[in-house]
Amino acid sequence: MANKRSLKSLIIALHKRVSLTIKMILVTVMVGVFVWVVVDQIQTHNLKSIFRAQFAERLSDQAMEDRLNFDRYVKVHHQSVRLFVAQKNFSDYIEKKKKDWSTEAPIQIKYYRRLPQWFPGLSVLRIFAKPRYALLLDSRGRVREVYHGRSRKGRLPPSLLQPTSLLLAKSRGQSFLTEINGASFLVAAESFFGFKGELLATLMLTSPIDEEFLNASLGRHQHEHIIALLTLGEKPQILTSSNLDELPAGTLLDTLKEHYLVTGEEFFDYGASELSIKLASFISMAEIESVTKSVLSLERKQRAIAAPVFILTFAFVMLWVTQRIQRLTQRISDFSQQTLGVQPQELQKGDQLYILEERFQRLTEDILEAREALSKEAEEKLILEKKSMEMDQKGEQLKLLQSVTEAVGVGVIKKTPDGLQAVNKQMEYFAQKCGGLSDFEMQDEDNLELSLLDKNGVNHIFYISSITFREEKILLIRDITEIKAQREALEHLALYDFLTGLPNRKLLCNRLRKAILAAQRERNSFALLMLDLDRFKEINDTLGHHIGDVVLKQVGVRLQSVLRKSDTIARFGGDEFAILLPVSDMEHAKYVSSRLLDVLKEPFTIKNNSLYINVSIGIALYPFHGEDLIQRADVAMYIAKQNQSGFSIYTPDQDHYNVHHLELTGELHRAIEHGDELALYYQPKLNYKTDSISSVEALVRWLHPQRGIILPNDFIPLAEQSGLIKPLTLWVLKTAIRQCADWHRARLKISVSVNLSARNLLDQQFQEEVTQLLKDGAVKPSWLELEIKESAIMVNPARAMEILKRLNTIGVRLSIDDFGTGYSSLAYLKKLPVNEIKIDKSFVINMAMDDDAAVIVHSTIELAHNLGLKVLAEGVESQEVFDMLAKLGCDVAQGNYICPPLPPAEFIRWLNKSSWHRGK
Amino acid sequence: MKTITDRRMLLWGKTVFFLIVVFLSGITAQAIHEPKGLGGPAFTDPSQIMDMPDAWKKQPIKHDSSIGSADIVITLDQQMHPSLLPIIQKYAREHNLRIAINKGTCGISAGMLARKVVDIGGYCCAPGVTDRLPGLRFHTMGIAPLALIIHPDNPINNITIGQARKIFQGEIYRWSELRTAKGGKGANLLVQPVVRLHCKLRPGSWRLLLKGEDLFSPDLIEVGAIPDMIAQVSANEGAIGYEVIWEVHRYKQKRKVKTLKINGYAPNELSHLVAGSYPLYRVYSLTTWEEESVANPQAHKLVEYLLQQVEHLDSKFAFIPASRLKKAGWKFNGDELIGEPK
Repeated sequence: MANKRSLKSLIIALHKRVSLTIKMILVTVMVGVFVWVVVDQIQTHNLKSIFRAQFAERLSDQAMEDRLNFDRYVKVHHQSVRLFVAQKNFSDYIEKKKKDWSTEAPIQIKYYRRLPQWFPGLSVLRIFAKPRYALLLDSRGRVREVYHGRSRKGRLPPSLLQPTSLLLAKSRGQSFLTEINGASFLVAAESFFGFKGELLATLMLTSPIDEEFLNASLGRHQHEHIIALLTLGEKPQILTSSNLDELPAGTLLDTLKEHYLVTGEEFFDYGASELSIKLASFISMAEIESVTKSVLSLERKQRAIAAPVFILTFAFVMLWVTQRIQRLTQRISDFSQQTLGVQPQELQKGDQLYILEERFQRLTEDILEAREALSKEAEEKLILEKKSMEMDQKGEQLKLLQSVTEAVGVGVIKKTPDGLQAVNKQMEYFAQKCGGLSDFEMQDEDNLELSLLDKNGVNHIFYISSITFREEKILLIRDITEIKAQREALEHLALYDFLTGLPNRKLLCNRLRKAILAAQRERNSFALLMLDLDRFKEINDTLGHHIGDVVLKQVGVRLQSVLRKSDTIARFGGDEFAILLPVSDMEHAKYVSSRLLDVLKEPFTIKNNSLYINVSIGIALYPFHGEDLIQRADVAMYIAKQNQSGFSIYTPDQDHYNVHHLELTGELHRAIEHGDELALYYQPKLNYKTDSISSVEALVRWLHPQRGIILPNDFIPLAEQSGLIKPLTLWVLKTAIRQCADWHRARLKISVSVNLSARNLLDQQFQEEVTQLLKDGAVKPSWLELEIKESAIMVNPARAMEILKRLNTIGVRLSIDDFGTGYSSLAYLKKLPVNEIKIDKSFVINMAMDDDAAVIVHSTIELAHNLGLKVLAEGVESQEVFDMLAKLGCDVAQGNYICPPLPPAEFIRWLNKSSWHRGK
Repeated sequence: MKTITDRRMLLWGKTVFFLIVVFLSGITAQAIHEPKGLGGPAFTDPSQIMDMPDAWKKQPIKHDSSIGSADIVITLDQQMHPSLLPIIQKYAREHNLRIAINKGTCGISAGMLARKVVDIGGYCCAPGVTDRLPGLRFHTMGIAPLALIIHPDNPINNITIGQARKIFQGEIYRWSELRTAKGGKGANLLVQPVVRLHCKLRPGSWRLLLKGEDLFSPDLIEVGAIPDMIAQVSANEGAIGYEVIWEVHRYKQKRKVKTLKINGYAPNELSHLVAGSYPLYRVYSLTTWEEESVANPQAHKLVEYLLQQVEHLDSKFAFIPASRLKKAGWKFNGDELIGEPK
């Protein structure tokens, strides 16, 4: 018992200490040995079966051959006796003896050991059957002479020495097999007849059917298998065999089948055999065994070579697997440590698989532990929440959790036979919504939020849901007031502008989509207004962003003050606002726009600063202006800003994004690139003092192949919006400079003025480009005058100032165009390096009829002169105006009264004819 | 004056006459060339009884000691054995008899009868002179067609009895000398006759083909056992042999052979054999001892019983019972069949 225990502990110790690889190799060797033994047994059995089948088949074929040989040998006796009788020496001998044999004297049989005279020679006998006995019978069937050769004559059965007529009859004409005196004999006889047909003698060949006969029939003495004749009956036995030493006569067949493979047991169906015999082939089992063993031995050798190769390969595979297991173990340890914070414990000795199992087991336990803890926590929470609503001790009342009761003010619900009855209205509603609190029938999908005021008037939001926990239906009530507030705050952040608190672009777009759907549904219209504060950047730049932010907040408040509750005002970012006016038409939109403009007229007082804010409003209406209202209102807003009209309603013509404008933009691009469709017209400027034309204004015309002459007002805005204004300006400059150069080369000293766009004043490279063009055209800078609109300067006065100063430094003359339409003060203009101002034609044209206009023109001339600036009046259409301007001291006049804009050639023709040039 | 139409009619008439003459000449030539008298006798004269010594005549039936006591001892030839064994066993059970049955051949039956150790002997050939022992009576059970068998791939299906005789004589030594059913030549193969020249002292069987062994081709293969005959034919594309339908059927799983029609009659179409149109057959007989000293009444009753039962043998044995032969005009001497119908 103690030994058993110590052996067991030894095995366990070994199991823990020995590495996985060695263990697996040991197991493989053991399994291999077992498999070896089993396979060997199966192989041996299979091989034996296969060899037996093979031998049986081969033996079967051999048996047939043996039967044929035996059959042939038997029949040869009959043929032989016929041949022997037909020999001459036989007939001669019989002729000689027939007289002697006719006597009735007692017969003395004559025996021959050597060949008798009546027998053929040895050479014949060698080829034909060599009978053991040859009997010569006289005409009465009595044996007279016997040839017995090597056989002893005494062994001849007496019945053969006195053959019956039946024996003679049956042995004539065939080889007859019969039993004579208990022994098996072949008898073949043939009679010899005289000339008259009388029977003279009979020759009978006979042989005992024994080992010698059998071997002679098979033509061999030694063979790998034995042929035997079996006598049939209840117990078949060997009659004779080809090897009597091994299979002696009389041996029972049953005793042989254990040691011999027997086959070919076919009837010797000769038909002339009275013997109940069969011919069979025997092969020793030992011989089969021997062949099997030799093949098996070869196969075992092959297995002996294959086995170590297999074990070695397996060992390598196991080493690889062990390494992978170790890596897996390490990963599990790392996971435990990093994820669960569990330090891997030191393990007892064991193989790699054991360690992996242990680590995995620990990991599983740790995970279960953690899960249990989480579950417990969750359960406690559930229980806590469950307790938020539980029966009192009597089971009559449903008490609400203290926090709930405090929040709601009344926390008791009475139970009645019909269910629970709430005490106050809130709880009635509560109970009603829960579908009867008494049986907790509230469905999962019946989750509801309940907003209740507590006794202090504070609103609380409760989220009530039903869940099934451990087959028990319970209600969960959560106070989600804070969560709700946080969620709403987040939603607010996402949808509202953090600065002004107004809805942002996202929310407005959302409401815009809804408004479109509503308008489609209700078949009405609504408006979208886009607002942009003018000069807001100036405020930011000069007073700082914090002031700008305050302005934006106050703008938001003022704008909101004139809107309906149903309207939405949103800040789009920067100084841009959008207003959605649901159910609104054109008139209403205009009215609201006017109100918005009015409300912003009052100055904004911020930190003792009074700030005036102008705003430009673009209006787009659904469904008249399509669904892309933001873009359309934006276009309208841009127009309003450009026109300084306060507000503008979208028209497709102004929209450079519409199809017509896009087409025109493309054509303009091509025209500028090729320059063949553009032309410069020149309008002369008349100097009052010299009464001569000293300068011309280059005015661009687009000679459109299909649309005819397009005036600048129709395509310059397009060029500005599409960014083509720069190449267009450069083309005009280049052409005008070239023309100027041409004129100067022709001794016509006329300077050329070119109009600039606001964009040119933002272009840092513009000054360099002008310098290069002047250089290329070999034109003095003083021959070039650049006209800049007042409004263009005011887009970005600082930048404009910088560019203008640069241009001034190179010697180019500068002029303020359309003076009086902008908001710049003369004081501001004083800072600009300009030489001339051009009074806007709107004032000049009307000055003859409008006193105010005349006053403005007069004041402007005076003021400009005071600032040291020249004054040009454009739009001089009549003699009266021309004269008035002269009286007011205007320096230069330009207008159709003097000369309309003309192509260069016509201009030269006009100049040559004109009285002005000649100093009229 | 003959018209053109008359001349045409005359020409047609001459042509038809010529064709008829050619056709009849062919038939005549065929008949002329048909070997006559090559077939041996089918039966022997029942009146020729083997002369036996008086001592033999007085000798009683003495069953072999190894058999023990038996009411009836029978030795059957190997062909009748499988068909009659279950019937005899059933009879033995029904009549509470102990019947010892030995399986042998004609020769064994003849030997055992000559030694007087059996009550009934079975023969698969018509009895020869040496089989007609004093006091022995033959009861013909019936006959079965002897089929000419060839290799299954051989395209020949039908030959005349004359062609069969020439084949076994070695006069037709290539199959291409024969025509297939579609009129084409037979395969260009050497004919290999396979014979089993058993029971040389008995009539019928192979002797119906050629009466003596000296008539057979020197090129033949002679076998001693039935399975060897089937094996040789099935293994050699040019081989031809003969065997009863039952034996062909018995070995068909292992060895495939094809049976030939003779003169257009298939061997398994038994009605042609009954009518005497099919020329080759074997005769199956049982013997009983008639003399009172050796007669076994139970053996007689059994033979009578078997004569009735063979009328219902399975078709696989292709057996024509004696009763049907009698009705068809075959000649009988008592129970023994002694001649074909006229």
